[in-house]
Amino acid sequence: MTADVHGTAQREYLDGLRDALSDLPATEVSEILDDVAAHLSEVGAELGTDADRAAFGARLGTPRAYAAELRAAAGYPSAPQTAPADGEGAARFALVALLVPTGFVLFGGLTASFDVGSGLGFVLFGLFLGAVAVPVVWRGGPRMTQVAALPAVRRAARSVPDPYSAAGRLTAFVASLQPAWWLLRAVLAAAVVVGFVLGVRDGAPLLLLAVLLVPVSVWLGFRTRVDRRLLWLVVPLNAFAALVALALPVAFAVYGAPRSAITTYNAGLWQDDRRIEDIRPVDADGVPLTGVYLFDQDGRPIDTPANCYDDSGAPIAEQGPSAPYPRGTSGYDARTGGCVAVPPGPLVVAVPTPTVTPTVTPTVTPTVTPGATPAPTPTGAAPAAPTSQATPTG
Amino acid sequence: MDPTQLLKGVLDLAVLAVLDRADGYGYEVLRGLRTAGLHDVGDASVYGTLRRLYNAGLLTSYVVPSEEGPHRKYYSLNANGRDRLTESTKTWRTFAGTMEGLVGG
Repeated sequence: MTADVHGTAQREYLDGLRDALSDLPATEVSEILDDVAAHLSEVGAELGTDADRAAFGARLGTPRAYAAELRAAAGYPSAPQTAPADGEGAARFALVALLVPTGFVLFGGLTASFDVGSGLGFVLFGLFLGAVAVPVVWRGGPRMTQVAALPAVRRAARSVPDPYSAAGRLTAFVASLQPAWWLLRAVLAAAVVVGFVLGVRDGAPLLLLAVLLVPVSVWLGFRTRVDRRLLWLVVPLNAFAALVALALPVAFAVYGAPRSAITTYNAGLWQDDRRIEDIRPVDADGVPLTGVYLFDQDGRPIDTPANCYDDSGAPIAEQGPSAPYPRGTSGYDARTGGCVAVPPGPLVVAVPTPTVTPTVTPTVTPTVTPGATPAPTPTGAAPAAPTSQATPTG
Repeated sequence: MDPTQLLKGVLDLAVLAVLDRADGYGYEVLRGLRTAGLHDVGDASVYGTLRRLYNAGLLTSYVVPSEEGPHRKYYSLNANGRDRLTESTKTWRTFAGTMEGLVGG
């Protein structure tokens, strides 16, 4: 468990070593670091509980000195002259000027969901802090080498997973979605300007502005890859756009959904996707019945509302639910603008033949048959029960 | 005279000799050298030498997982390495004999 206890000092030492060897081929560096990681673990175990950064330094020398000795023994070229470490304070300030305004924008965006005024205040204060850093950031040059050389930034850059691992493939996939994000943030910016700043609730201006902003957003995306100074502008704005992207679906769910949900309700009586306008009851011989009332399994009347609507879609005349079947149908008359009742006309229906019924209700038959003819013999569907019932009588 | 200056020239031979006795990972090689009396050899020099001999095709390596910490990379002499060891030993003996004759005489 030594490796865990003294992990931090060892990792720092390895990081320092990796930096000092960073000009060598990556595969070679990783081989060396494999060896040295095992070495550090052994040394850590030897040092015991005192194995902190200073102890490693005292035992092995600084990572830079260790790397120099290793280079000499391994026959690698000596380390290239590194840039002087001046301006580190300015680089730190620039980094803070990137992170703090982004934090303020995120916090302000979250606060705005409770209190729009103070939320906007946080966002603006964050952007003001960022503006203060503009001269420092601008002096840093397009690649911002001083900031990139900061240990924290190097560590973050190194934490990118190995491209052949699952995590690495996922990271690469997410990174490949970047252009899609550039398009999305243009649309989000248009939505904020049109909907929030101008207060217009119309699709056309939003679409127009989005079309204008997409090239700007894509250009900014490509430009940021070359000129890292733009990160100080892009990262806080991206944070804001991401908040808007999260907030918009929530706003739609809260304010937009109920209105649209009501309109999908279908009134009336339906079988599958067929609307039933009238019911034509007949008896077992196919003779039409009149004056029939129908109820469902709970005793509630089954109703077929009139299928007659005016131009606005409202039903014009409704027969009372108390009317017996058949009721006839009703249709809209364009000349009068009203509804016309269409009485039930002659109807020929195919009544199901009785031979079909026993298969559906076989248990009914035996109770009727004692002494009588065993007439509608059940088919093979239910053979056992009727015969055993029939034997005592015969 | 500074022994580290002397060591630089013979470190290859020393490392090959230790690995000829038994395969070993870096720290074992280092301990082997120290046990033999080469106290002034630097840790980083041993690791650097191992890398150079490996890159020169004199060593093969294999990884053995370790329960306590990072896995260990063992190095072993291959045929080239043994040839080099024989050759270097001969050179060393001649050189040491010459020096002995010079200094002792």
